[in-house]
Amino acid sequence: MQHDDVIWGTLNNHFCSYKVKTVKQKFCRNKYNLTGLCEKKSCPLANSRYATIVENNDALYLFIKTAERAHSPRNLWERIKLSPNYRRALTQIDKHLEYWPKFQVHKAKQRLTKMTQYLIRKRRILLRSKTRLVGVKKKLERREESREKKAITAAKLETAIEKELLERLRSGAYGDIYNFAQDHYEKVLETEIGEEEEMEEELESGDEYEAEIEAESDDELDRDIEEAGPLAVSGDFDFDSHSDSEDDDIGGAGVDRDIGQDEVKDYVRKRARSRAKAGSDDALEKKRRKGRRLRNSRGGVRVEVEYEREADAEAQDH
Amino acid sequence: MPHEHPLPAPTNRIVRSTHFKKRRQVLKRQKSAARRARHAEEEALGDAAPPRREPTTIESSRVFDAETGAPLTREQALAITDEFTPVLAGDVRPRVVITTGLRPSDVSFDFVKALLPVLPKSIYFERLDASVAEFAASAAGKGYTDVVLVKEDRGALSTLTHVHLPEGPTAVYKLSSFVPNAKIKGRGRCTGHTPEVILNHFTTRLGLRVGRMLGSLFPHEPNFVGRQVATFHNQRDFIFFRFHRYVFTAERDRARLQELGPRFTLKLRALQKGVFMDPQKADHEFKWKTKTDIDRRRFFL
Repeated sequence: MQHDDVIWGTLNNHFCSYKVKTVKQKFCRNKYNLTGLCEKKSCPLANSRYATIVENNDALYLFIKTAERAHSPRNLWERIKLSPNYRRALTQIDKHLEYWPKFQVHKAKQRLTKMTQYLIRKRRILLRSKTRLVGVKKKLERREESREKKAITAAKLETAIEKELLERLRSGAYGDIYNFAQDHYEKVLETEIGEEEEMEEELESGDEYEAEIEAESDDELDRDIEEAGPLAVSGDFDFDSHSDSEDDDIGGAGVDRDIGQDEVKDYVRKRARSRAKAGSDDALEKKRRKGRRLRNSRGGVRVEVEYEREADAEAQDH
Repeated sequence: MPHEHPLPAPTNRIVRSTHFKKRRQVLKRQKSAARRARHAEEEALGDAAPPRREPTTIESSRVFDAETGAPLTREQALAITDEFTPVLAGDVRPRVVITTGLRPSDVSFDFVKALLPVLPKSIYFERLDASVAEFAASAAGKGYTDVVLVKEDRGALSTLTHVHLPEGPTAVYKLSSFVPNAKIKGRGRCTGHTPEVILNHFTTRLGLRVGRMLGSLFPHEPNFVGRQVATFHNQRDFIFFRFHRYVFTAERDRARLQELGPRFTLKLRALQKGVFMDPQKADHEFKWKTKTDIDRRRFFL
């Protein structure tokens, strides 16, 4: 016959293989233990009447043992499969543990709750895709890298893309975007060319400017050159030779730098015209080209300096 | 030309190497003599000369076997109807969600930043800790047509997963050689215009499927005013992505290109039926294996 008190006395005061002692309390590792604590009322060995919840293959069972079963270890536990429905499982416990100590019933229900929750968690984790670790294949990576390099060389990407775009253009994929009337395009071109020629003619004839240019004295022109000079900070401007010229009173590096761009441009324009008028045919052509360049250059301070030199050269010629 | 020994190779190493060198010189001389003769013949005969032999390239010696299938004819290619037909026919305008792998870093974000302006109507959503399937389901619920998921491993971009919604397929690519826009010399800035799409060299059934899938990321009505073109160029199963602005010369005989960026390279690893699943459970249309690449003349796309 078993005596619960005798068993508990032995296990508690002497040795129990399931007992784990910590500083503050004792735990029990017996798989049938309802609470996990080492104490008289939760000890599955020292209680001839005991009930617990056990999980097997994701199903929960209510295990019940009674004193009448103690003589046959094989039949020690009565196994009752609990419904997967939590509420129904609770009523099952209530039914089978009717008139049992409140502690047993309460702890069995608590254990059922805990185990139901971990089963739900387990299923959810299983559904989630897991990170799987795979080996790094260095040789494969190296091979792919070199093949990719060779493939990109063989691809001639820009050529292929260009070819495809031209093919699309030829097949008319772009509709009328690029098919504007050619004659209209040429007309626009002609008008632009015509305007340019007109301006050249103006330069050649230049009647209305002649008077102005003649009215200006050489000194004035020279002063204009002087004024323009210091602006050419980064140019080929030669300050030394320049300061030796006759109008030292104005020239040099210390002149007024507030000279307006418009004034400079005006000067350039006039100068170009006068020279276009003055030269022979060849020189005229050459100078006309120069003049056009000047006309086109906006705020072309560097060009000024070239002129200054040419002006000097001209002065020597005359 | 294989090296032929008239006699068994001498066992002495020095003799053997001398012998081999001499043999090689002879072969070299023969080769150059043949070349000279060919040139002389060409000069003498003029137009009547036999045509020059085409150089053998990997492309020209490509193997089409039962697994890869023969390249499709134009009629066959045009007759394809699949999940991407509505997009490619212009009935559906694609809306793309871009996201990252779990715990992304700047490596992924840089790629996402570069990709967002390229794909019209694309948007970035934070992945949080959703699985790919959950993420795709939620995107499909909001009416998006594609999910592009970029993943990094060991501090470098590794995988690009493209899920077509709502019913798949899912393509998994190896992602490599990403060059962000800032690293491209002389690049331009992309404008908001819908680009044209060029899909080059997708020949087999699988290749066309992948090409159509990639093409369906872009709306079918390009805005030609923007002169922007996105290219997926397949060469030896590597898919090169490039993004350019072009201009035709006045003579209409050249197209000048300015790269806008980014650049990256894809290599198909798997094509799954349906929305992304664990590779071990998934039903594959195509699955790359290490052994797949052993023959360097066999390509799948």
